[in-house]
Amino acid sequence: MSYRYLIGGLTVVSDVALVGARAVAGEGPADVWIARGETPEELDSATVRRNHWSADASRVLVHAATGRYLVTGGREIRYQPQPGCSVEDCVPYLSGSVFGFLLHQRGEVLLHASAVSVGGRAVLFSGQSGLGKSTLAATLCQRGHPLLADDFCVVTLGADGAPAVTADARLHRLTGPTIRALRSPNVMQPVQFKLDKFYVEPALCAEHGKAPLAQLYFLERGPAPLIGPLSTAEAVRALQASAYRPQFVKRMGHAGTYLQAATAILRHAGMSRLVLQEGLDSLDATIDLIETGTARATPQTTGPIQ
Amino acid sequence: MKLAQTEGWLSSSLGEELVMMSIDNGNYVGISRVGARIYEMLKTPSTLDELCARLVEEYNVPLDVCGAEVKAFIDEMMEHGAIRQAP
Repeated sequence: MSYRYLIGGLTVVSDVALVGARAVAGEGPADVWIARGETPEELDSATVRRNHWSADASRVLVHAATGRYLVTGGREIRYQPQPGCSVEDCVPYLSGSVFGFLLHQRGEVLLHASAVSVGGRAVLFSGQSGLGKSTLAATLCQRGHPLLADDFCVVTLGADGAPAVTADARLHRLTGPTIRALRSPNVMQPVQFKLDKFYVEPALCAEHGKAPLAQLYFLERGPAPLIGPLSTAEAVRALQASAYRPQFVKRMGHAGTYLQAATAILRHAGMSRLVLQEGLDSLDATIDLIETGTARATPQTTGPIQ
Repeated sequence: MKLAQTEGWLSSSLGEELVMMSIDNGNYVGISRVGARIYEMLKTPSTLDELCARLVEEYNVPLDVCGAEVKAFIDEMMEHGAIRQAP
């Protein structure tokens, strides 16, 4: 039995059902294969070693509580569940952080962000876990803006250098309080190993394809909802920090790609701070700001670096 | 004294500017079109006088003005670590 999905613009064939990924019909060659199999305990040829992963030029070995994952050449993921763990326990990793390594191997610009389509253009929310990326995306979705991406976003540059976001999300992953606040009707099973999070069917999903990037918001906590400007230097630095696993990007020599992406986004779209209040009380006011800000958004003019 | 680009800096153009970033320490510098030209010239180690001789020709500026401005630019870039003394 095999399953077929579209993740980050790639056709993926997997021997396990990937909950939350976008299923597609078809057969024949795929871009990526995911299959259970033996994985090494260590990567002897590793040139970079961190706590939970090690990498050489073409492979990444990820150690997680659920299993070991070997990502090879941007084309293949082999996984081996830890004793006591099921194949299903591995799924959030296979379609999440482990898949992120694979996209990095392919040289993609991958941001830790959620995205919706507002008026046909992508609005991204990036920030540390728990700040409210998925909550903002889900709330905008309820207001009629289709979901593009959840948790990670692949940003590509077109022939004219304009950035676009690949639509690939199928489900939200939301916490209990957010689900209650949004009165989400379509709550599904919990996300494995993230017991406070549940899969939720979005009100609207974007079609396959790419949406031109309009605004990238970097989330932070503050006393009142606010959209604020960033200097060029701040924006470039914030984009580097928003990479999905910035340490991997740096260690594997991909920082230049993110610098190019940053200047492309500054040239064709916009990057701003989005200050969020603690809790969900001011969520509607924040969403109003985003809808107004995106309607007004025009490509930023460049100013002196500060 | 010859000057040269420091290794380990990445750059990307943004309109008239060149945005530069150090891989090692994450330092960022934005420089103008003329600054970008000077930085490009320093792919080949050059002295201040050699730089100025070429810039006077390319930009049609008086030598004394060029010398003072290039020196100020070089000092700032050396402070950021983007330009170094060549051995």
